[in-house]
Amino acid sequence: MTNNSNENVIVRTITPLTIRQIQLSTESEGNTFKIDNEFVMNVSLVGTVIKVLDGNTYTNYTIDDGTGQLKIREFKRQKQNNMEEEEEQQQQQQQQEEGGEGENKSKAKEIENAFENKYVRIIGNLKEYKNQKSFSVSKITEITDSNQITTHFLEAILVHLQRIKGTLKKEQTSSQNSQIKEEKNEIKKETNNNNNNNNNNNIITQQNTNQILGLALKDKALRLISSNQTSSGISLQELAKELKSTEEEIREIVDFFLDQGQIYITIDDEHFRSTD
Amino acid sequence: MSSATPRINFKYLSQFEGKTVRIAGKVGEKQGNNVILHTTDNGQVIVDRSQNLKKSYETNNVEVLGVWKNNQLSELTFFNLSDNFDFDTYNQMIDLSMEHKEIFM
Repeated sequence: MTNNSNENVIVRTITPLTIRQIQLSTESEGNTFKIDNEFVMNVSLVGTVIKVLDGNTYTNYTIDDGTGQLKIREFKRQKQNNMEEEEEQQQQQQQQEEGGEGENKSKAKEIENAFENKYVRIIGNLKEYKNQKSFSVSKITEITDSNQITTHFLEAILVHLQRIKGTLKKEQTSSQNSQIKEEKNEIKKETNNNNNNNNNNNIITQQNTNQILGLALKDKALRLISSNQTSSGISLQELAKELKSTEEEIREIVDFFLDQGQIYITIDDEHFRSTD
Repeated sequence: MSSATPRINFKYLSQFEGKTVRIAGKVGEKQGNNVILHTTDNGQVIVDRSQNLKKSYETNNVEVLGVWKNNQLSELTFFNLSDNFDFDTYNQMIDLSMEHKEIFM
């Protein structure tokens, strides 16, 4: 995550979400929404297309993923060819005269039919526009391996739990901790099972899940190291304890940051401080 | 506010009487306007297709969206699922979604 000079936050990860999570999100800073206490910008959804509205500069889809419905917008790219543009303008003028208000009803129907009875994956950008949520589509593709539906919802649960339970660590009792660890392991196991049973598409999804988990952990580790103001810095053991991770995993993470020059070792090679 | 149409399987049906739900499974025998759906957790559900007869199932596995009432699922629409659809993992996903209803319904 990097901060711009104004309040806008830039997030470089893609968060798998359910539409219900988007409906319930109220927190935002600048134009960026927060879900489960983390900024989200790029979002992936899996659902079905209920309705299509085709306009001059955009196509509107209404998506249902079983948790709720959402209107999303795909902006049309500028046409390169002038001839095509003229033709289109003529078509649009004709439709406007017919009272279509710039809507292309037959194109919309065509798109609806193409997506009927099918699941789609949507990657898009969630932001606030005039106090309302707006979702602009980067990519909408048909899902051919239906296990991706299962994987998506498992990932949404996993990221959700990571984000909400990860921050409560100080108030948890040890029995709650082991329960949460069990739940997370169960989900990870199922995501793994699901992916092992399937083809390459899902191996890529598993890598995405691992990347999401890896990024979240690295991010937290760097924050912990940066927040330590003592001259001897924070130790490997403390990091492992705070992040509920193994020393091996933490060793990998600190080696990464050492290479990047973001942290340095202090009294021995198990104590670190941030270079910031 | 919730316009949710939850994904469930056979064992959760009793909790959703009168509700619009999604049930996935293998397409079974046709009986007039009805079709038997063998759910992902080995249950059997009678799907009343009379509101959606013009579209036929195109795959062996489908997810049916309909109203569960009086021991029948009245189909509103359906979605084709691939042949390699893993029922076990799907069932576990449904169980987890029931444990974390806050993001599903």
